[in-house]
Amino acid sequence: MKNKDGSTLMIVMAVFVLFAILAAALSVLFFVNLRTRINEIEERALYIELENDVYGFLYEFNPENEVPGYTVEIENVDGNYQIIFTNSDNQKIRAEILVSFRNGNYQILSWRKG
Amino acid sequence: MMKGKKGFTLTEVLVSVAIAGILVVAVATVFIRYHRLENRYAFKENILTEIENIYEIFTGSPADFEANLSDYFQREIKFSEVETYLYYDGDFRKLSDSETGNYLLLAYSQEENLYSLKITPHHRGEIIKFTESEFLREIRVGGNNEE
Repeated sequence: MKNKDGSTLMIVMAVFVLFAILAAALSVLFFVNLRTRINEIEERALYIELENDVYGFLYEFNPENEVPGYTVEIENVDGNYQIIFTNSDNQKIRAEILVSFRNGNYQILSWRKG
Repeated sequence: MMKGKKGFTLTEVLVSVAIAGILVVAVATVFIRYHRLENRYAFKENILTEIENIYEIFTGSPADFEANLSDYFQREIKFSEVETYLYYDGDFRKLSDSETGNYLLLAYSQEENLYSLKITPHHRGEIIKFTESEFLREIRVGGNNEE
Protein backbone atom coordinates (compact mmCIF):
# COMPACT_ATOMS: atom_id res chain seq x y z
CA MET A 1 0.00 0.00 0.00
CA LYS A 2 1.22 3.43 -0.81
CA ASN A 3 0.03 6.69 0.54
CA LYS A 4 -0.50 9.39 -1.96
CA ASP A 5 2.09 11.49 -0.20
CA GLY A 6 4.48 8.54 -0.15
CA SER A 7 6.12 8.80 3.28
CA THR A 8 3.38 9.36 5.89
CA LEU A 9 2.44 5.72 6.21
CA MET A 10 6.07 4.78 6.60
CA ILE A 11 6.36 7.17 9.56
CA VAL A 12 3.29 5.63 11.21
CA MET A 13 4.70 2.14 10.71
CA ALA A 14 8.07 3.23 12.08
CA VAL A 15 6.35 4.56 15.20
CA PHE A 16 4.63 1.19 15.64
CA VAL A 17 7.90 -0.66 15.25
CA LEU A 18 9.59 1.63 17.79
CA PHE A 19 6.69 1.13 20.17
CA ALA A 20 6.99 -2.64 19.80
CA ILE A 21 10.74 -2.55 20.41
CA LEU A 22 10.29 -0.32 23.47
CA ALA A 23 7.57 -2.59 24.87
CA ALA A 24 9.72 -5.67 24.30
CA ALA A 25 12.71 -4.02 25.99
CA LEU A 26 10.58 -2.97 28.96
CA SER A 27 9.14 -6.48 29.26
CA VAL A 28 12.61 -7.99 29.32
CA LEU A 29 13.70 -5.42 31.91
CA PHE A 30 10.67 -6.14 34.11
CA PHE A 31 11.14 -9.88 33.99
CA VAL A 32 14.86 -9.63 34.68
CA ASN A 33 13.99 -7.45 37.66
CA LEU A 34 11.42 -10.02 38.80
CA ARG A 35 13.97 -12.82 38.44
CA THR A 36 16.40 -10.81 40.57
CA ARG A 37 13.76 -10.33 43.24
CA ILE A 38 12.95 -14.05 43.24
CA ASN A 39 16.65 -14.82 43.68
CA GLU A 40 16.86 -12.33 46.53
CA ILE A 41 13.88 -13.97 48.25
CA GLU A 42 15.54 -17.37 47.92
CA GLU A 43 18.83 -16.03 49.25
CA ARG A 44 17.18 -14.30 52.21
CA ALA A 45 15.35 -17.50 53.12
CA LEU A 46 18.53 -19.53 52.77
CA TYR A 47 20.37 -17.06 54.98
CA ILE A 48 17.74 -17.36 57.73
CA GLU A 49 18.15 -21.11 57.43
CA LEU A 50 21.92 -20.71 57.68
CA GLU A 51 21.55 -18.60 60.85
CA ASN A 52 19.33 -21.27 62.36
CA ASP A 53 21.82 -23.97 61.43
CA VAL A 54 24.68 -21.97 62.94
CA TYR A 55 22.84 -21.82 66.27
CA GLY A 56 22.12 -25.53 66.01
CA PHE A 57 25.81 -26.14 65.35
CA LEU A 58 26.84 -24.00 68.32
CA TYR A 59 24.32 -25.71 70.58
CA GLU A 60 26.17 -29.00 70.25
CA PHE A 61 29.53 -27.57 69.31
CA ASN A 62 32.17 -29.96 68.20
CA PRO A 63 34.84 -28.79 65.73
CA GLU A 64 34.79 -32.24 64.19
CA ASN A 65 31.06 -32.12 63.44
CA GLU A 66 29.92 -31.86 59.86
CA VAL A 67 26.79 -29.97 58.99
CA PRO A 68 24.78 -31.38 56.07
CA GLY A 69 24.39 -28.83 53.27
CA TYR A 70 27.26 -26.62 54.46
CA THR A 71 30.98 -26.32 54.25
CA VAL A 72 32.25 -25.45 57.70
CA GLU A 73 35.75 -24.09 58.15
CA ILE A 74 36.97 -23.70 61.71
CA GLU A 75 40.10 -21.94 62.79
CA ASN A 76 41.41 -21.32 66.28
CA VAL A 77 42.22 -17.64 66.65
CA ASP A 78 43.74 -16.60 70.01
CA GLY A 79 41.70 -19.16 71.90
CA ASN A 80 38.48 -18.28 70.06
CA TYR A 81 36.96 -20.07 67.11
CA GLN A 82 36.54 -18.43 63.76
CA ILE A 83 33.85 -20.36 61.96
CA ILE A 84 33.01 -19.88 58.30
CA PHE A 85 29.69 -21.33 57.29
CA THR A 86 29.08 -21.62 53.55
CA ASN A 87 26.06 -23.10 51.86
CA SER A 88 27.31 -25.95 49.68
CA ASP A 89 24.98 -25.10 46.79
CA ASN A 90 25.22 -21.32 46.90
CA GLN A 91 28.54 -19.74 47.89
CA LYS A 92 26.84 -16.36 48.41
CA ILE A 93 25.04 -17.74 51.45
CA ARG A 94 27.90 -17.42 53.86
CA ALA A 95 28.66 -16.18 57.38
CA GLU A 96 31.90 -15.63 59.27
CA ILE A 97 31.49 -15.93 63.00
CA LEU A 98 33.93 -15.45 65.83
CA VAL A 99 32.91 -17.41 68.90
CA SER A 100 34.43 -17.84 72.31
CA PHE A 101 33.70 -20.76 74.60
CA ARG A 102 33.92 -20.38 78.34
CA ASN A 103 32.61 -22.84 80.91
CA GLY A 104 30.77 -24.70 78.20
CA ASN A 105 28.89 -21.58 77.10
CA TYR A 106 29.38 -19.88 73.80
CA GLN A 107 29.55 -16.19 73.16
CA ILE A 108 29.30 -14.80 69.65
CA LEU A 109 31.89 -12.05 69.40
CA SER A 110 31.27 -11.07 65.81
CA TRP A 111 29.06 -12.08 62.94
CA ARG A 112 29.79 -11.09 59.38
CA LYS A 113 27.35 -11.88 56.63
CA GLY A 114 28.52 -12.94 53.18
CA MET B 1 -17.15 15.30 2.69
CA MET B 2 -13.50 15.99 2.74
CA LYS B 3 -11.46 15.10 -0.26
CA GLY B 4 -7.96 15.70 1.00
CA LYS B 5 -5.08 14.86 -1.26
CA LYS B 6 -2.86 13.73 1.61
CA GLY B 7 -5.25 11.60 3.65
CA PHE B 8 -4.98 7.88 4.38
CA THR B 9 -7.16 5.41 2.61
CA LEU B 10 -9.66 3.48 4.70
CA THR B 11 -7.62 0.30 4.23
CA GLU B 12 -4.50 1.99 5.57
CA VAL B 13 -6.32 3.25 8.62
CA LEU B 14 -7.83 -0.18 9.28
CA VAL B 15 -4.47 -1.91 8.93
CA SER B 16 -2.82 0.64 11.27
CA VAL B 17 -5.57 0.29 13.87
CA ALA B 18 -5.33 -3.51 13.66
CA ILE B 19 -1.55 -3.45 14.19
CA ALA B 20 -1.90 -0.97 17.06
CA GLY B 21 -4.58 -3.17 18.61
CA ILE B 22 -2.41 -6.28 18.40
CA LEU B 23 0.51 -4.41 19.97
CA VAL B 24 -1.58 -2.97 22.78
CA VAL B 25 -3.13 -6.37 23.60
CA ALA B 26 0.29 -8.06 23.54
CA VAL B 27 1.86 -5.41 25.76
CA ALA B 28 -1.11 -5.36 28.16
CA THR B 29 -0.98 -9.15 28.49
CA VAL B 30 2.72 -9.05 29.35
CA PHE B 31 2.28 -6.29 31.94
CA ILE B 32 -0.77 -7.86 33.57
CA ARG B 33 1.16 -11.12 33.90
CA TYR B 34 4.12 -9.25 35.33
CA HIS B 35 1.89 -7.43 37.81
CA ARG B 36 0.35 -10.72 38.98
CA LEU B 37 3.76 -12.32 39.40
CA GLU B 38 5.05 -9.26 41.25
CA ASN B 39 2.14 -9.44 43.70
CA ARG B 40 2.82 -13.13 44.17
CA TYR B 41 6.36 -12.37 45.34
CA ALA B 42 5.75 -9.08 47.17
CA PHE B 43 3.98 -10.76 50.08
CA LYS B 44 6.82 -13.29 50.33
CA GLU B 45 9.29 -10.45 50.80
CA ASN B 46 7.11 -9.06 53.59
CA ILE B 47 6.89 -12.48 55.26
CA LEU B 48 10.67 -12.78 55.22
CA THR B 49 11.06 -9.29 56.67
CA GLU B 50 8.73 -10.22 59.53
CA ILE B 51 10.54 -13.52 60.14
CA GLU B 52 13.92 -11.74 60.14
CA ASN B 53 12.63 -9.14 62.62
CA ILE B 54 11.06 -11.75 64.90
CA TYR B 55 14.21 -13.87 64.91
CA GLU B 56 16.32 -10.80 65.65
CA ILE B 57 14.14 -10.08 68.69
CA PHE B 58 14.31 -13.71 69.77
CA THR B 59 18.06 -13.97 69.28
CA GLY B 60 18.75 -10.75 71.19
CA SER B 61 17.18 -12.10 74.36
CA PRO B 62 15.39 -15.45 74.11
CA ALA B 63 14.18 -15.31 77.71
CA ASP B 64 12.47 -11.93 77.19
CA PHE B 65 11.01 -12.81 73.83
CA GLU B 66 7.39 -12.42 74.83
CA ALA B 67 7.85 -8.93 76.27
CA ASN B 68 10.12 -7.76 73.48
CA LEU B 69 7.79 -9.07 70.79
CA SER B 70 4.88 -7.26 72.46
CA ASP B 71 6.94 -4.06 72.40
CA TYR B 72 7.75 -4.58 68.74
CA PHE B 73 4.12 -5.03 67.72
CA GLN B 74 2.87 -2.54 70.33
CA ARG B 75 0.25 -4.99 71.51
CA GLU B 76 0.24 -7.74 74.10
CA ILE B 77 1.35 -11.09 72.76
CA LYS B 78 1.05 -14.05 75.08
CA PHE B 79 2.72 -17.40 74.65
CA SER B 80 0.47 -19.13 77.11
CA GLU B 81 -0.07 -21.97 74.66
CA VAL B 82 2.48 -23.90 72.68
CA GLU B 83 1.61 -22.19 69.41
CA THR B 84 0.75 -18.57 68.85
CA TYR B 85 -0.87 -17.13 65.77
CA LEU B 86 0.11 -13.73 64.44
CA TYR B 87 -2.51 -12.71 61.91
CA TYR B 88 -1.61 -10.31 59.14
CA ASP B 89 -3.36 -8.34 56.46
CA GLY B 90 -3.37 -9.54 52.84
CA ASP B 91 0.22 -8.74 51.95
CA PHE B 92 1.80 -9.27 55.38
CA ARG B 93 2.54 -5.62 55.97
CA LYS B 94 0.94 -5.29 59.38
CA LEU B 95 -0.87 -7.31 62.02
CA SER B 96 -4.57 -7.79 61.52
CA ASP B 97 -7.16 -7.21 64.24
CA SER B 98 -9.15 -10.19 63.05
CA GLU B 99 -8.30 -13.76 62.14
CA THR B 100 -7.18 -14.11 58.53
CA GLY B 101 -5.70 -16.88 56.42
CA ASN B 102 -2.41 -14.99 56.44
CA TYR B 103 -0.51 -15.71 59.59
CA LEU B 104 2.75 -16.72 61.17
CA LEU B 105 2.49 -19.68 63.46
CA LEU B 106 5.02 -19.28 66.26
CA ALA B 107 6.03 -22.25 68.38
CA TYR B 108 8.10 -20.91 71.26
CA SER B 109 9.42 -23.16 73.96
CA GLN B 110 11.96 -23.30 76.73
CA GLU B 111 13.58 -26.34 78.21
CA GLU B 112 16.19 -25.67 80.86
CA ASN B 113 18.63 -23.32 79.13
CA LEU B 114 17.49 -24.11 75.59
CA TYR B 115 15.07 -21.74 73.91
CA SER B 116 13.55 -22.57 70.57
CA LEU B 117 11.37 -20.71 68.14
CA LYS B 118 9.78 -22.26 65.09
CA ILE B 119 8.04 -19.97 62.62
CA THR B 120 5.69 -21.39 60.02
CA PRO B 121 4.27 -18.86 57.57
CA HIS B 122 0.81 -19.35 56.08
CA HIS B 123 -0.80 -17.53 53.18
CA ARG B 124 -4.50 -18.03 52.58
CA GLY B 125 -4.35 -20.88 55.03
CA GLU B 126 -1.62 -22.73 53.14
CA ILE B 127 1.90 -23.23 54.43
CA ILE B 128 4.46 -21.22 52.49
CA LYS B 129 7.75 -23.05 52.16
CA PHE B 130 10.83 -21.05 51.33
CA THR B 131 13.42 -23.74 51.83
CA GLU B 132 13.39 -27.47 52.29
CA SER B 133 13.69 -27.24 56.06
CA GLU B 134 11.57 -25.42 58.62
CA PHE B 135 12.46 -22.10 60.19
CA LEU B 136 13.56 -23.39 63.58
CA ARG B 137 16.09 -21.60 65.75
CA GLU B 138 17.41 -23.10 68.96
CA ILE B 139 19.51 -20.96 71.25
CA ARG B 140 21.26 -22.06 74.34
CA VAL B 141 21.34 -19.35 76.96
CA GLY B 142 24.23 -19.15 79.29
CA GLY B 143 26.48 -16.97 77.24
CA ASN B 144 25.69 -13.85 75.35
CA ASN B 145 24.07 -14.87 72.10
CA GLU B 146 23.80 -11.41 70.66
CA GLU B 147 25.08 -11.10 67.16
